[in-house]
Amino acid sequence: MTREEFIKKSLVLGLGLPFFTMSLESCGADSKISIPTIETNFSGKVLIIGAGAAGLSAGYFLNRYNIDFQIIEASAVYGGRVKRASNFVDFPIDLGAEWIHTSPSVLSEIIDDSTVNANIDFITYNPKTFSVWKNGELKPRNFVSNFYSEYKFKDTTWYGFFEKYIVSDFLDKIVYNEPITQIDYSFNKVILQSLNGNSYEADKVLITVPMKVLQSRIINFMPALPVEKTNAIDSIYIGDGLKVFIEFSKNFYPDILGIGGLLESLASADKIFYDAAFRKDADANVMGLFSINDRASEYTSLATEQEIIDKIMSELDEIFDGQASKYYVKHLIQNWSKEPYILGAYSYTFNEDQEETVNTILKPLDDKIYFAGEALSVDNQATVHGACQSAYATVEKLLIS
Amino acid sequence: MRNILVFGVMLCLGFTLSAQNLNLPIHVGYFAPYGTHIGLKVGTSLGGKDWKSNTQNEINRLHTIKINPQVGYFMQLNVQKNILFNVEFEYRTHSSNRSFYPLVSVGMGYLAGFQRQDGTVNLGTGEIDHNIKTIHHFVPTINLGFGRTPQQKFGYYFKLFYGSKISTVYAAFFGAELGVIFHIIKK
Repeated sequence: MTREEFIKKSLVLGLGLPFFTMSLESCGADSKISIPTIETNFSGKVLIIGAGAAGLSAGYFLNRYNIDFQIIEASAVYGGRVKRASNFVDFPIDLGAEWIHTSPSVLSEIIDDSTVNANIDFITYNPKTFSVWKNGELKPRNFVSNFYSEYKFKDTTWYGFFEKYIVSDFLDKIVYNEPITQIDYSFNKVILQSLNGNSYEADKVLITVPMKVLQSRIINFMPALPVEKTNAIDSIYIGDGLKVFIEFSKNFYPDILGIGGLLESLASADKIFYDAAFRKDADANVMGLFSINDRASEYTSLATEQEIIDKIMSELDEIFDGQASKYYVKHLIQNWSKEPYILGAYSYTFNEDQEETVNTILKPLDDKIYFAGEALSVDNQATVHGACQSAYATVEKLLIS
Repeated sequence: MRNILVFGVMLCLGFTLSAQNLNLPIHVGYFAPYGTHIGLKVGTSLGGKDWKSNTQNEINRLHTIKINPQVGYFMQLNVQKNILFNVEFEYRTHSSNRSFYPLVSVGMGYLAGFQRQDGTVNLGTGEIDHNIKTIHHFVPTINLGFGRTPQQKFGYYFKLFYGSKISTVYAAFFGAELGVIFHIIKK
């Protein structure tokens, strides 16, 4: 069951609510994330395609075992859907993954190194004021505060976490601006061709690009991927994704503003406005907009960022009686659908059985091509720690196969 | 937080012992604000005012006003723990030969909510240190339900309640309570 399905069913049944946050928190608890201790005779070279959370944690694993590897990244930066804006206001902002959808101890699990002597501060994301905008009315629903809680970083970001604790030892192994267009695994070695005409050779390749990229056929496989694998890839629904941050000179908004009915807002969570500075050490008033799927498409389909912010400001002015325009300072838009090597949000629903779909995709090709990513973690799908978990599991398979 | 919890437990014990000595009814109930929280409420009923009325259909119908002091504890895992000190002014009515009664009451209480605000995780060990803040609320409620006075051993009660948790923000406070009523010393 996907997280989204679980939340919906819990809300419908009501009975699940006491266990809602507990279950989210325990997502990783029953399948603790760690770098497996293995014995491997592998002495070849591994190429990782994609420097997002999965690619970077795969590199972290391989680096620990002194395996020869390289990460090929299509864009100019590492992180993928983990992205940071450092200078927008007086606290760093997560432009992509933001919440820690489980216990913060998962950060220690990802690092999996008991010699690390450092702490990270987090906030309990348990908003005090919750309202919904429905039928032209702003309705307070503050009691939601009593049963919703997650976590966020207090003074850093997911990107900051990767920067400091995961990537720092192998930054020189990441190659940027090299979109891979072809993967030829018909020979003994795997040959990769990039858009820039460069080729790379490896014994094994780990593909960690977003599923949306695989669905778009940007990468050509030789021989072609088996039909069952392409069917499985295509059966995962990944919608549009947008995050917008607006600084205001005054806080006039609730901690969370859902659009539509309460159950609808909580269950789909496909469009929420929220106080991005909630419990942060910050003076700035920053409202965030998180939007995915069809709700996001209403914005991402617009031609320019100016049209996007105009639409959002118009909505906020209607909801808050013109206060948005009155107190507006500046904004920042992250349109994930327009990122050429991301193309959307994250895995949302599976048209077929999730476990079966994931297992079909994870099945290695000729013991040379492997897959990992947030969509391929059944336990922790659509999360950063799920991407790491998937990467660790796949790298283990890759090294001992 | 610990002091308030200890105080709450002591108060519960105090209630029970006093109620026992005075042969007052003891109410122990499952207390589930929002239908989701897990909780317990202990209380008693102090005699208030009784009177009888006669109607065309019924003679000697009993009316009672009770004062119900209560202590409650409820929690939502990973979100909050709460302790409630509450007094309800309850009106119940029933036929003189029946122990079943409908009830309506208004309550006023003080609620201490212990909420996780932020914390620190040790990246080497994964150990978490939470900072917990106590939030003080005034909680007025209105309650509707029914009950049955203990005859030989146990009676029972069921109430739906609705009210507000008032601190720096207002939040609806609603849920249900189901419990038993008994006397430790047999009547």
